[in-house]
Order: sequence, then C-alpha cells, then structure tokens
Amino acid sequence: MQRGSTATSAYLFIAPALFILVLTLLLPAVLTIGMSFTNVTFLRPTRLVGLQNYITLFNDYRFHQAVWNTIVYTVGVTIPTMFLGLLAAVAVNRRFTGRVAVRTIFYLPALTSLIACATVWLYLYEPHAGPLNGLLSTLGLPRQLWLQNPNIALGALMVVSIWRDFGTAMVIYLAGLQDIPEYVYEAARIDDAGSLTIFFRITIPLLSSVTFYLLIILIVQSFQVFGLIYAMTGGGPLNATSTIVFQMYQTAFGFTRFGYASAMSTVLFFTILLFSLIGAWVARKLRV
Amino acid sequence: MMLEKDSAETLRKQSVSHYANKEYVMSIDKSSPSVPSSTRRQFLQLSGAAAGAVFLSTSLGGLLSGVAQAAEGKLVFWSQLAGSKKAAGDSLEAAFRSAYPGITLDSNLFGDPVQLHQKLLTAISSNTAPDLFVQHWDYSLAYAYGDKLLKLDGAIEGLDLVQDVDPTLLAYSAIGDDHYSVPLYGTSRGFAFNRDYVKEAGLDAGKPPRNWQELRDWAIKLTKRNSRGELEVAGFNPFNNDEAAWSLFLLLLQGAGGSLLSQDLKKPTFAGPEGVKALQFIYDLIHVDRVSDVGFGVGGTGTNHIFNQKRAASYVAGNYSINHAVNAGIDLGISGFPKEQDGFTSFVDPFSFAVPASATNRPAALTFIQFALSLDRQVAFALESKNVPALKAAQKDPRFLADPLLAQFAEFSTYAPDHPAVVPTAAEIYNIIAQAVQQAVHQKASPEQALKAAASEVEPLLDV
Repeated sequence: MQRGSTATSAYLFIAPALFILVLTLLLPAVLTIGMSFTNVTFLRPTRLVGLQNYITLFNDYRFHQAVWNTIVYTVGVTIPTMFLGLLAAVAVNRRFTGRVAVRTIFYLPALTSLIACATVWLYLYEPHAGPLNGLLSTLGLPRQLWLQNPNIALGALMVVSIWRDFGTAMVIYLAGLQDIPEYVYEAARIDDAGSLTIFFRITIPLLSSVTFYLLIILIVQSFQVFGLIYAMTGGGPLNATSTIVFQMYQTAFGFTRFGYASAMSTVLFFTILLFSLIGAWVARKLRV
Repeated sequence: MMLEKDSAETLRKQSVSHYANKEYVMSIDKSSPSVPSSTRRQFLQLSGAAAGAVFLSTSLGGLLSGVAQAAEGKLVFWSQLAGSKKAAGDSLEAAFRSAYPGITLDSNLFGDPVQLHQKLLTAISSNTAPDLFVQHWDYSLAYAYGDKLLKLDGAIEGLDLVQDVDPTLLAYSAIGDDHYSVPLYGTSRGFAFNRDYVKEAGLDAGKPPRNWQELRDWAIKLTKRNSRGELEVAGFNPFNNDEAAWSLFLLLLQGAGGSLLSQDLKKPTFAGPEGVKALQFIYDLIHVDRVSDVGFGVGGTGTNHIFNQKRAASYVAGNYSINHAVNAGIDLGISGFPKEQDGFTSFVDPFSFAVPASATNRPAALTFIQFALSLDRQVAFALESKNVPALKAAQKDPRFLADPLLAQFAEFSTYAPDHPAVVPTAAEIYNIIAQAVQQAVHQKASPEQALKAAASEVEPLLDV
C-alpha cells in the first residue's frame, strides 16, 4: 500500500514536467512526422502526398550538400573540441598562479551571446580590414576570403564553433578529472609510471564516461547547428555552409514548404536518434 | 477567390471617419485587496489560490489573445518598417494616431520580411492574424493565393487602385484583375557610382554608361589593384549576396531582351540565349576583365557594403542605398542600368498593405491604408524613407521631385517591364537563380549549364 502510494506521488511529481515535455516535444515531433507526408503550407488546403517529399529529398542535390556539410561540420567540430577541451582541462587542473583566471577565459566564449561572437568573428574574418588578413599581408601571404570562398567558409565556421565550445568541454572534463581518486595516481607513481603513461593508461580510460557523454552531446549539438550559420554566412557562398537545419528553416519559413521541411526534419530526427542509440549502446558495452 | 464575404461597398460604408473623434477608453480599477493577517495555513492557501489564478489567467489570456486583438476600436498593425524605414513608419503612425484618435493603433515592428512572414504564418493558421500588415509583395501574394487576404478593389474610400497607384508597383498585388494588397512604397534599381573615383579615372560622370560595352569600359577603368595584383577597388561590384546576384542577372537579362518567365507565367524563359548572354557578361566582368574578384565584397550590407566602404566604384543600387552612401561621405552618382545595346532597364520591388480575411477590424485597417495612400503622407513617407511612393500623384509632387536622387529612382521605375514575373513562389525562384549565377561565377558550371539546371528546378514551382 505504502509502495503504491509512493509510486502515485512520484507520478504526480513528474506529471507537470511530463505534460510540458509531451506538449512541447513529443506532440510537435509526432505532428512533424505526420506533416512530412503532406504538402502543408498553412496557406492552402493540405493534401497527403505519401512518400513524395522523401523521394524528392533523396534526389535533391542541395539536401545532399546540406547532409555532407553537416557531417563535415560535426566531425570537424566534435573531435577538435573534445581534444582541446581535454588538453585545457588537464592544463588548468594543475596548481599554478592565475589558474582561475585562465579557466574563466577559456570558458568565457561559451557564456557570450552567439550573435556577439559572430559579430566579432565577422570582423576578424573581414577580408580587407580584418586582423587575420592583416597578419597574412604582414607575412607576405595572400589575403583570404574566409567566409566568401566556398572552399574554406565551412572550415572558418568550424573554427568559431570550436573556439566557442571547447570551454564547455574543458569544464566537463575538469569535473571528470577531479573525480579520479588521487590514490590511483599515487599507485602509478610508486610503480614508476611516467607522465605520458599515467595520462594514457589512467586518465584517458577513467575519463571514458565523460568522453562518451561529450561525444554524444557534441554530435547532437553539431547536427543542429543553425545560429552561427544564420548570423555569419546565411548558408552561402554557394550553399557551402548550408546545413540540414539551416535548409529546413529556409524551406519552411523562406519558401513556405512545410511538408518538405518536415521530411528534412524527420530525417534529421532519426539520424540523431540513431547516433544517440549507438552512443548509449557503446557506452553500455564498454561499461562506461 | 472566395474572399468577398463583405462586399466592397459594405466595407467602405463601415470604414473610417466613423472612428474619428470617438474615444474608446478602457477603465482600469487600480484598487487592490489588502492582505489580511493570517495563519501560516491561510497564507499557503491564499498563495496557492493566487498562483492558480495567475496560471489560469495566463493560459486563458494566451488562448483568448485573438479575442483581445479584436477589441473594438483597436487596429492591430504588423509591419517590417525597420531600419531606414523606421523613422518614416513612426511618423506615419504618429500622424494616423493624431488624425484618428478613436482608433487605438497597436503597432508591431519586425526586423525583416522573413521574420514577419514567420509571425504571419503562425497567426494566420491560428486565427490571430492582425487587422493589417505591410509585407514584401511575394509573401502577400502567397497569402492571397491561399485565400487568406481580403480583395481590396473598391474597398478603400477615395482610392481607385488602377487609376491612382503606380501600375508597375500595383502589378505585384494582382491575381488576374483582382488586387489583394496595396503598395505603400516601392524600390527600383539603377546604376550607382562614386563620382570621385569616376573623375579620378578620367571618366565623365555626366555621361554614365548607356550600354554593356560602356559599362565594361567604365568598370575596367575604375578598377584598382595593388602592386601584388590584389584588388583594392572593384570597378564594378557584381553582387554582395543572393538577392544582389539575381538582381544583376535580371537587369542584364532584361537588358538583353529576355524575361524571367513566359507571358502566362507558366514557363521559365531565363535560360534562353538572352539569359546565357547575361550570365556570360557577369562571368566575363570577373574572369576576363577582372573588374572584381570572385567573392569580393560578399556579405557586407548597409554601411558595410563595399561601395560604402569605398572599395567598389560602382554597383547596382536601389533607392534604399542612398542614405548609406551619403552617410559614408560618398559623392553618389546614379543613372539607369544600361541595356545591352542602348537605353536603360530596371525593376521594382513593392512593399504592400494587406488585410487578412480574418481581420476583425477591417474598417480601421482600410482607414489606415486610405490615410497612408493620401498625397501628403505618401510624399512624407517617401522623402523620409528614401523610397518611391506608390501614389502616381506623389511621384509627380514638387516636394518629392525636389529630392534629385530619389526623383531619379522614381524615373527608373518607369524602365521596369510591364509584365513582371509575379508568382507566389518568387522567393524560391530567385534563390535558385542566384545559385545558378554563383555556380557560373565560381566556375562550377558553364552559364548555359547553370541556367538550364535552374530552369528545370523552377518549372515545377510555376504550377500554382
């Protein structure tokens, strides 16, 4: 009886949160999947189009480009962000003067408004008056059109993203590092293990749960990138920085093709779900 | 179209002057209940009840917001009169409030047409649309095709749309012979140049180019490169974004005698020989004449546009560009955009009033349109925002003509084609064309290949 009452209380406690989640996440997700089989525009009578949106999608070279850009961006941002975050965490985990200041500086970009960051980087990348090209000119190297050249624009955005996110990775790794018991390191030192051995044989393995968490979070976050692209390149030049979410936005709100945009959204949803499930499965297998 | 639930005559009768001098006053009870001294339990009960009341009122408030908007005497107006149009929009609204104190104007400003479109789509589909809005023509046309707008022919007292409004601008409001929006103002395009650079290059600013060859000669002479061959000043800046890319292509296409779409708007025609010639011309300017570099100046707008940064000597400008150039201290010269052989071409881009079919205060909405389309308001708005007025009489008004640059842009609008490509999918079509232009410029495809591919993408979009 007591147990049943506890369960009821528990359900009552989570009910408000559950209600909001269903209303704001589950219901829209289900509706979006439903809309992907229609030609809904919100302006004309909607009719079912079956799999037409998906057939169009898989033959749409712009969507292919957006998928490719998203994959390149995700890989290009996730791995360096984690790598730099780990390095920074190891560095600022040591005791040295100004440690708190350095930690704060590394983490500040994550706290700064995205639009403010974009504005600063637009200035840095400015082809004529920007400091980056100023530096290149001083070194006698040719100026670059960082955001105007389709071959380097996505890379330039990835740099901004890494700069902005590695502080967050650092904080999460730092928490992981501080969770590793000191006696493990002491035991290793007693066994004459060197710094590199300790790092690769103790620190890295014991941070694997944090690493997996970060990996999944960064992959999901990178798949959903939008703000930076909207603020800095608008998907250009030549769609070189157009990602799936940006194309969804443009298709839905720019071209009023909500059915087609919903198909894009559904594909993205299941892709992210797949990555999350794989991540969870790998984490379970490795017992991290 | 199924919109005429109220006849135009009825609407006219309901309209306007009825509201003048009639005050609608909302009384507010400022008294508040005093908090009695209470036990802890009573306090908690009271707090719970208050929280519940707040929750309920917030929820109901949200649900009933459409009803709230429909309050009698209240005119809910959404616009994108931001940026360079902000001051003019504010003046217009202030003047309206003063002239019609009986109408409470609830004005909401959005940063750009896309932002307003998002809001309008949500509002239209949830029956909370405003009574009136000003939007870029293609979005309004999409709403009209979806039967979401009121037909405005004969609905506005004292305004004969066909007789009084510039036909070039009004063409963008029409589906067949019916009009579903009324332009407040329009923009037109011309050839803008930096007079100082023109003089430096030994060119005559009084004789701007009248054909493509002269445009080419000017651009070559105006180009400045440093000793390392790096571009310092583009003789002619082809485009800084997608919109400018298709604008330049459209002007050149028209200049070569072509058009975007067939007369019945059912077939793309821009990939024909005229289109290829137009795109080849852009390609040659960059790759053969080297008057600019690929990507040079892309991204900068407003004061950051490379023309205003004095890094381009000429480009395709709209009347909205005047203030930025003047503020940047540029001695601005403008002329019509040259055709291939001789003469000028242009196109217009109207921003128009529209009344949603579900608007609850149509009379007030029509009153506002009538007020904004009056001669004095049209002249005032045009001068303050540097736009082309929609009213024919305003375009000929001496006060308007006293602004020489603006008057020239009004003249350029007469070079625009009589039968523009007015289709509700214009935004997507323009985007496709802009990509084709850039593909050719970036040497990813030949002009012919790029345009053919674009035409095959555009064709299904014309089945509306």
